[in-house]
Amino acid sequence: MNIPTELRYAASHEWAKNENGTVRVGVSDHAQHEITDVVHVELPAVGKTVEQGQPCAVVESVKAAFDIYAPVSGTIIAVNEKLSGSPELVNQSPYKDGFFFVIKASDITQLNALMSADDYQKNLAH
Amino acid sequence: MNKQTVLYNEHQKLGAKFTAFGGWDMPVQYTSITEEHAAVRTHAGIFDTSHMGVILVKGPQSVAFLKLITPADIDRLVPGQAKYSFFLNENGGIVDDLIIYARSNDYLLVINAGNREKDMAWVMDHLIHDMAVEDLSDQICLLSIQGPAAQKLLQPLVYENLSAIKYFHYLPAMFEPLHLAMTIARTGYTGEDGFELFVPVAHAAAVWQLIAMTGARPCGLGCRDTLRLEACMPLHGHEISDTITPLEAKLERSICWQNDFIGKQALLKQKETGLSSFLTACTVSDGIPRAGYEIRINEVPAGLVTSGTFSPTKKTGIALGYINRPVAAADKVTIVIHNQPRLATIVPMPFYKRNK
Repeated sequence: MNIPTELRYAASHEWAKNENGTVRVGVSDHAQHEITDVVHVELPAVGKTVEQGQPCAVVESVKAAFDIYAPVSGTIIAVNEKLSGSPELVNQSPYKDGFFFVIKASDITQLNALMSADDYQKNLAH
Repeated sequence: MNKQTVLYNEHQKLGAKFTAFGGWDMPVQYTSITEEHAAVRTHAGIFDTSHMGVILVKGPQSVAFLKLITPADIDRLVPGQAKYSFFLNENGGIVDDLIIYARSNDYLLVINAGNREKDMAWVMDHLIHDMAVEDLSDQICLLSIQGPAAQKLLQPLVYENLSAIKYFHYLPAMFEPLHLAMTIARTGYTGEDGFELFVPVAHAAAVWQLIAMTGARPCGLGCRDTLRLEACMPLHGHEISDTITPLEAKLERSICWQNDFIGKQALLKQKETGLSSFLTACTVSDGIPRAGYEIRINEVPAGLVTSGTFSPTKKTGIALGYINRPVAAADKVTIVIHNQPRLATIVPMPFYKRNK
């Protein structure tokens, strides 16, 4: 299971990447594997305010829909437009081309509440 | 604690993901629902359907009994033939749907896994003299090989000529690699050509392995559901249930009105008063409809989705559901997906029909 060390992780399997005060968000390799074939993604509108721990997007397999939770509070400043035509990018490239959106964090220290790669790995083992 | 089928170890060896279904731990997929779905539409897949129940009906009064507990035209059912039917309650609701296989001296009824105890109790409640029923579910393993290449792949393993088996017919056959007698029926639940095999449980794993070696792809319940939904085949607990009648489910073609079956009076009354619930198929391009989602006509709540998914063949959201009135051309139909009404297009059933 691929768990890049430079990212932070939520217990709900989103990853968050600090890019100088903005936060790029996607789902972990473990999550895309558990979701199975992603066939549809619903993203928030750019400009929408999101709150840490609240659902703000949906990822769907053939069988089920899964909520995506905002790892930090803030404003959506970009979404991955490619996912509407190519949702399979979430499976193929969960940490890069399959990212979901970028948040302008209202308080970047909220990232500290997320897990390190090490802790996330231990959490998965439970 | 869920039950495990006799093929559980085979599924584990193949790395299946499991799901609970009808009291059983069943493989939902081995690699990918969309890939397994495509394999059945374009080549062939093999399914473990051994969770299905099998009831034997025997004795001189078997015909009278089946004419009472099902609306099937039993008199015209000859040995070697199979018929889709249901058990109806007094209100005309569908207790379960089933396939009746007529044999020379008795009948086999194949019923849904999750309804096995309920069905057995219901059958026992209606027993008449000079006949008996027996639950053979633990002795027979049902396997299903489905897809346009099913006959080509299965034929080298079977002595009899499979092309002689017509749709909804079966043959007692010899499975040559094991010198094993089994029943092979041309039936299925995928909308493709294919066969269902009645295999003695002791040989199930060997038969499974030999068929998998022909190139038929192991397929889980995940694609079984998307395949049957594209073909608009009903699933008990969804399109049909104890409170839904065959008339509402558009299954009147399976009713023999000459017979005096349980539920007939309720159905006749419903025919007279007219339906108030209409099975409808629709597609949604913006989002994926799921069972339980609300259907609206011109912004007014009008019903619920009974089955919905992303159609791997059509690459769009598809749904079956019941609405409280027929839709007119000018009506705007929406399905509420993630708290937002999304435009739905009413389409004829089925979503998918194979080229014959």
